[in-house]
This record gives sequence, structure tokens and C-alpha cells, in this order.
Amino acid sequence: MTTHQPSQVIKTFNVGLLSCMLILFASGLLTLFSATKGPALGSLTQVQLLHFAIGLTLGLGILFIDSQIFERFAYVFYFLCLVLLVIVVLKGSIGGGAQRWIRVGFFNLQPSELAKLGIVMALARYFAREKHGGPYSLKRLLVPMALVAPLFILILLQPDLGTAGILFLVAATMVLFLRVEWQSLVIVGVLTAITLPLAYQYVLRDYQRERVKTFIEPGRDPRDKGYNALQCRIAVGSGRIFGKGYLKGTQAQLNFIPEQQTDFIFSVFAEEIGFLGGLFLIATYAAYCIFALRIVARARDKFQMLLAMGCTALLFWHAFINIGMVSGILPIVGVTLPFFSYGGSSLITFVISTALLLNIGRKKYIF
Amino acid sequence: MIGREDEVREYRDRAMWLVGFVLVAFSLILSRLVYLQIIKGAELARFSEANRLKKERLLPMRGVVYDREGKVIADSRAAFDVVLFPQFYPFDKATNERLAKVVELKMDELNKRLDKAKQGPRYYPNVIRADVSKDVIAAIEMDAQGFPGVDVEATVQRRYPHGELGAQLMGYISEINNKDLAKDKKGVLEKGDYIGRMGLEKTYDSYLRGVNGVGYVEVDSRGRRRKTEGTEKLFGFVSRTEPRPGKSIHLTIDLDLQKAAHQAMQERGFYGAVVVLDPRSGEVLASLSEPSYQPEILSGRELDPEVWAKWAENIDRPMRNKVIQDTYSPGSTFKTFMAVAGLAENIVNVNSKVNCTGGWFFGNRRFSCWKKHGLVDFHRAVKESCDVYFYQMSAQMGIDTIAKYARMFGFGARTEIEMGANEQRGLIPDTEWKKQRFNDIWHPGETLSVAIGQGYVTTTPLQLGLAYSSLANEGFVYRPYVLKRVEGLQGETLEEAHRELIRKIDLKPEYFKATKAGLKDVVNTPGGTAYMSRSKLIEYAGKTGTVQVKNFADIMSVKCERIERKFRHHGWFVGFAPIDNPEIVVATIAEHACHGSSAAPIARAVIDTYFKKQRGIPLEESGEDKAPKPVRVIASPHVEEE
Repeated sequence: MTTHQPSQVIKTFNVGLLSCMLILFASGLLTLFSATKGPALGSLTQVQLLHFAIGLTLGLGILFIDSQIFERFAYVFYFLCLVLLVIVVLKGSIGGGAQRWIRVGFFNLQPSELAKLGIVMALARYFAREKHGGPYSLKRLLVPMALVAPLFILILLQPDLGTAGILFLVAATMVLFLRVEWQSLVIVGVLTAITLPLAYQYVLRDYQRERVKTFIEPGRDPRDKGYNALQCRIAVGSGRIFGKGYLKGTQAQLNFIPEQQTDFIFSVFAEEIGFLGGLFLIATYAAYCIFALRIVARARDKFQMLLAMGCTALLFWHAFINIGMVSGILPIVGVTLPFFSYGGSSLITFVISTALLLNIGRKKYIF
Repeated sequence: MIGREDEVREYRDRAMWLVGFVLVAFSLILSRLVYLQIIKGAELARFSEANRLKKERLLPMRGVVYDREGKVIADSRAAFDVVLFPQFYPFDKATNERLAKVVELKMDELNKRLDKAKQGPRYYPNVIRADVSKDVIAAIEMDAQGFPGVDVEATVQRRYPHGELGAQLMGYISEINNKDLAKDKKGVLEKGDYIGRMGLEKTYDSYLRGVNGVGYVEVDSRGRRRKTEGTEKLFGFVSRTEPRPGKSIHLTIDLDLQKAAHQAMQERGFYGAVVVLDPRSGEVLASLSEPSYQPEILSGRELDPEVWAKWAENIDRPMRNKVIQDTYSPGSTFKTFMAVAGLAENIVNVNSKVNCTGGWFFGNRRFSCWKKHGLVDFHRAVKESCDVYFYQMSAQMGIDTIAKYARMFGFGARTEIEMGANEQRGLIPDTEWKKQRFNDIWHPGETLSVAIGQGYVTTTPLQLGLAYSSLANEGFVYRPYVLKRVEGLQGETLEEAHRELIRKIDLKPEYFKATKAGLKDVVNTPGGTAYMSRSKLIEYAGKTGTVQVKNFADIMSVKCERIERKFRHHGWFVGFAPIDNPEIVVATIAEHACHGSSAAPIARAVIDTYFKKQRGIPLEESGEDKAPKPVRVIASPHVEEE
């Protein structure tokens, strides 16, 4: 090609996926504005817009990088995430108490968010070079497990149960996509059934156990967590079919709901826009996943396919778990709603992840 | 590239299968939204309209604290607070003014509390007036419609039936602040909770506090409970959890001894500390610090800042537990351990004699004795506290040897008792310390000051009591402790403390015995420095000590009683009984009492009470009250170190 008209360049991308992202971010920004219209949180909308701009800049760069470069530097990126996580854990243990971020200039970087992309890259690279292909036995999955384990443990140490869980789910989705021997699945199933109660007793922190208990029985909870879960359900339910109207929600504005700008932002949306809004939002997440899965299906090589698969799984699990917990079918864990929740690291991660998908889905023959 | 053609097709098929999975998963969430927003929507909207779900905190009873005989030292009573829920309260001027009148608050004070309430979560009950009378409760209840969002809440108030008696030992409780919340890693505390702030209330807070309960009730648009059926079950789960009361603790403290010590201090107008130990186990039988404060007022929810300031800024330090948190020079009470060291190092024996001419030249300086004793042997040196005898002994021994023996008895180290934070370790100086601290060599003259418990050496009343306890039982250093037993709700024993031997001081029993013989005559033979405070009831042994607060030279020409109170000497007395198999050790310091002999009657009062109880003599007919009044008179004839 000799001419590169902007309109022609855009046509080479998956416009559907791009539209989903823009719709989700725009709805998210409006909801964020509503959720934070009190005096204390007033400027968060502008800050989030700045986060998005940073994400777009990075994403734009990623769009035009040859995917071979990603493959070459996959382990480097993985290792960088590992180092950053070690720093966070060390800093946390010195500073006392949970710390999840590192200060980079004006920006609080959460390495655990980056680590999700890190594991996707590393696993994609590993399986792309692995000759025999699926179905995999447990023995042949030892290296991938060794890749997941350090990130998983470091994030668990922060402690951030939600992100660690997502990391595991994303990795598991990628592996299952490549197929695992059914015997191995049975073994894993049995082992999980045995270790889960033990982990609940001995690995989970008190407050994490409290959350699980709160999910089962909100009445028993200290520190307002049960009350918050109840108020969350009241907020969602009281939206009914058409919602109370934009900016007219009451639950979030009255501070009944904690972190209404981050993990619980869906309750604000559901209260104000109602079931129809929820339907639209969930449909958009589903459409995003479907466009992304089509990119997976049409990927040109195994690395690209697995990278796209990981990015898709990342968004799916985030959206599913977040809305599930806000509406009360899943326990409360710290998982953000993609493009909605306030927070730079999460938003930028999803913009980059979308850029990776767009890159892989690009119709390269035009050039 | 990707591989074989069939493999490619396989992955494509699988990706399409995943589309199905995504649709199913999101449908699941949609069906939940249908349930919440369409089926249950109307019902939930009703709750959101007036925020009709109210959270109620159910407070546990804080554990009871008993003395060794089961008498109550601290418990709780029911109380009522006027609370305000910002979500229902109108915050208009007329209502504010009526509320101020009903709860008997000044308008600006009420405004302050209303402002604080506005800042917190809107569903949070804010205490507007704590611990109100029945009249206030009635006024609020009668005019329920007039005060939307104002309610009377049952709560608990800590009670200390013995008031200021031993307040510093027990400590007090107060509302948690943001710092406490941040420190609470387990997430068991919540806003508005009361936690132990000082003393045993703090140390044993986790036993005593209990666990909050919680209840969710449906209320009307004015915040009043609606008495509708089915509020116990809300959306299918139990909406109420009962609070779990705190555990009770039993202390080693004997309230009768505590009272005896307190009374004896009060009668004489003394400030200072008294600590009583059982040398057979390390149990603390009494622990007192004077002056004191009213823990019930500090633990209350209406604390006047002026009252707080009165205690916090008092020059006589009522908020300090002087038993462990203040250090003093031990004065002549330290000679006891010098005596043991002298015998053990073979520098003196019981027959060694020194001629005291009222002072001793060492280097080019004269070190004076408080009295011209003439020819004194070991026994008389201890009994009459002859400085010269100990000057000469220490000059031969050297500071590092003195330090070695002092540390054996526990000087210079924390006892690690569980009474609270900031236990002082006191100081036993040696050449190494001097080098570190001042980058200077140790001057031999300084050794002489240490020998009579002056100079750099300092100790706490508990530490000194423990040292005498170890001397009294001839070498067994037990860990001092106050918690005897933790009791569960059914009265079952959850934990029990036992005596714990920290170390055995490995010296010949005859050294202890010879020193104790001297201490016996301090009290029981004429010429002993505490002879005037001997007991009719039982023979006890002990040692006096007088500690200069101000440099000796400045005031040597003036009688102690004539100088400004804050510059007067402190008086120490440490005693124990029975002399052969001691059961009780009393260490007491009377601040600015001028003489060690002034403190002796305090110890006698405690020792007498102990043996009266043991022998079944009623305490009311206490000889203490009818005793001849040797107390103040003692000052002139037998003055130490002057």
C-alpha cells in the first residue's frame, strides 16, 4: 500500500471490539461522575479521563508493534512483573499492613494488575513453543504451573485474594483451552476438594474468612461488611426496570455503599439505569467477549491465538465476578469492573489488553 | 506457524464453544438481575426510599475483673445513651434547640457533636449525650415524633467500685480512634468500640472485650423501629447475631492489702508507690500509685477536657503507674545487695569492722556518713546503715563487680510484668556504660555514690521489691505477675498462670542469712533505722532509704522539712515477713517524705493487715488506727544520711 488514509487504517481493525471498549468506558465515566459527585471525590472523573489517555497512548503504540516482538520479550515482561511484585511485598512488610502499589511519579502503579498481562504473555509464549500440543497431562503442565505459582503467591501475600483468583482463573482458562487429559482433571478436582477447606482454615486471613462468612450469612459480620452487602443488593434491586434516573440514585450518594467508585460501581449504575441498563451493559460485555473470541479463532499463529485467549479471559472473568459479587451471587472479593471501576492500573491494563486484541485481529494483508 | 490444518480447525471450534460459555455465564447474572430488580424490585425499593434498613450494634458486657478472693475490682453496668442517626435527623435550628434543652447540653456543644455526626456515615449512630438519666430518656421517648432520628440506646458503662484505689494498675478504657482501627489487622474492632487504654484493661483487652453483635431492623421514615412480622428474617438470612460477652479475669491482687496501703498513704498525705509481692511465687498482692485518678470518669463517654487536663498535667503524675513507670535512686535500700556482694566476694566477713568517724577520705574528697557510728561490724553497718562501711567495701570491690551482683537481683532490667507499657528498666552503671553514654572513664569516687544507692543507679519500686523478694527467699528470682486465671462464661478456667523461676542466684545461704539478720534488727532493735515502726503483731525485717531529690550541697544546711516540697527527699522502705520463711514483701516509696523511716509505717500497715487476715483477726479493729503516732515524730531522732 502506498496511501495510508486514517479511515483505511481504522478499517483494518476490529471495529466492533473497539466500539465495545469505547461504549463501556463512556458509560463507566458517566457512572463514575454520578458515584463521586460529592465534594470529597469530585475530581476523580477527570483523573480517570487522564488514566484513559495514558492507556490510549500506550495502546496506540502496541497496535503497530509486530506481535513477534511481544513473543520475544514475553519472559522479560513476566520477569519485570515478578520483580515489581517482590518490591511491593517487601515494601508492605517493612511499612506494615497491606500495600498493593508502588509510587511512580504521580502514579500509583499496582504491579498485580500488570502481572495479569505478564502471566498471559508468558503462558502464550511457553505453549506456542511447546511442540506436542494438548491434551496435557499434569506432568507436562509443571512448567506453566511454575510460571503461575510465584506471581500467585506474591499477590496472595499482599494480600489480594481477588487478583490472585483472577490470575489463576485466566491461567486455567488458557490451559483448558489447549485441553487437559481428563484423568488429570479428576486428580485436580479431588485435590481441590481436599485442600480448599484446609486453605480456608490456615491460608486465608481473618478478614478474608470474614468475607466468605459474610457472603453466606451477612447478618454475622462486624465492621459493616454485611450491612454493605445488604445495601448493595438494595441499591441494585431498587433500580427496578427503568432505574431511578441518572444522578438520582440514593444509596451510593448517602455513603451506604463503600468504594462505590471502585469495586461496587455497578450498584450505582444498576440503581440509576435499572434492569434495562444492566441488560445493555452485560450485552456489551458479552459482545466484547464474542468479538474477542473471533479474533482468537482467526489468529495467525499459536502465540497470537493464546495471547488473545488470555486477554479475553481476563476481561470475561473480571466482568463476571464483579457483577456477580455486587448482585450477590458471588462472595465479595476485590475485583474491578473493566472500564468502569476507578483506578489507573486496572483501566490501563484493560486498554492495553484491548490493544493487544486489536493488534492480533488486524487485517495485515492491507499493508 | 500454528500447525496442522486440523489443529487450527479444532481451536476455532473451541473458541466458538467458548462463545456459548460466555452467553450462559452472563445469562446467569442477568437472571439474578431479573430476580433482584424485577421480582424483588418493589420490596427493595421500599427499603431504599427512606433507607429503612437500620443497623444496630449490640454491645457485649466487658469481662469482670476479680481480686484473689473473688471481690470485684471492675465490672460493667447498663447505661443509656441518646444517639442520633444523621439519615433521619432534620438538622434544623428549631429541632436542634429543643434537643439541646432535652439532653441538657449547651447549644455550641451540641452543634459540635452534630457537626461530627454529619461527617460520618449516615447510618451510623452518633452519641449525642452519654449515660443519661431516666428523666432524659422519658423526655426523648415521650416526644418521639418531635425528634426524628434521635433514639435512646442501651449500652454498657465500665464500673470501678473502688474508685481511685489502684487505678493505675487497672487502667481505664476509652473509645477507639482511627489509629487503633488502622492497627487492628484482624478487623475485629469497629467505630465506636471501647478498648482498654492503660494498665491491665489494655494488656488483657482481648480477653475482656468480647465480640460485638449486630442486628438489622426495619425502621420507619423517622428512624423508629417498625414492629412488623418477619423482620428477623430478611432476604433469607438471619438478621441478628448476639454479642459475645468478654471473659473474666482473676488477679493475684488482694484488695484488703491494697486498701490498707492506700489508707496508710492517705492518712499521712504521702504520694508515691507501694508494691506487695509474695516471695514464694512472684504473685503481686498489691500495687498502688498515689495520687490517683477516677478510672470511671476516664472510661465514661462524657469526658470533660478540663477534668482530663487536671489529671494529665498534675505535677504529682496521677496518670503514671509509679510502680513500674517511674525510676528513683534506691538510696540506702541498695546497701543490702552491697552487703551480700561484699560477703560473696570475700571483701568483708561478718566480723569485719570499720571505724566510722562520720565520713571517709577517698582520693582528695571527703565522703560523709549521715552519723558518726564509731566502730561498726557487718551487722551494725546493715542495721544502722553506715555509709562509711559501704564506701570502703565498694572501693575494694569496684563498680563492675557491684553491677554484676545488682543484675543478679534483677536491677537494671525490666521485670516484664504485664501491668502495661512503658515499664522502666532503671539503671545499673558500669565502666562500659559510662564509656558508651559519656565517652568517659569511670571515676572511682563514683563507685562510692553507687554503694549507697545514689549517683547513676536508679530502680523502680517493683524492681526493688523483686530484688528484696529474691533476697528474702534466699536466691529464687520469680517472675512477678498479676493475672492468676482467665475464666470463661461458664466459670471454666481457660488459662491459669503459675509461678515461674527466672533464675536462682547461686550464692551461699549464709550470706543471705547474715544480711537478713541485719535487716531484722533495722526494725526490731533500738538503734535500727525503722525501730520506731516495729509491729506488735509480727517481727518483720526491712531497710530504709532516703533519696536526695536536689543536690545535697545546696540544702545541707537546711532541714528537709523547711525546703520547698518538690525538693524534699524521697523516703524508701522495703520490708518482708516472717523473717525466716517470708510470705510477703512490701516495697514503698513516699515521695518528698524526707526520710526512709517515714515510709516504714506504710509497709507495717500492709504487713499487719496480711497477718491479721491470716490469723483471723477482724480488720475493722485494726491496730493501725489506734497505734501510737510514731509516724511524723520519727523524723528528728533518726535521720539517715544527713
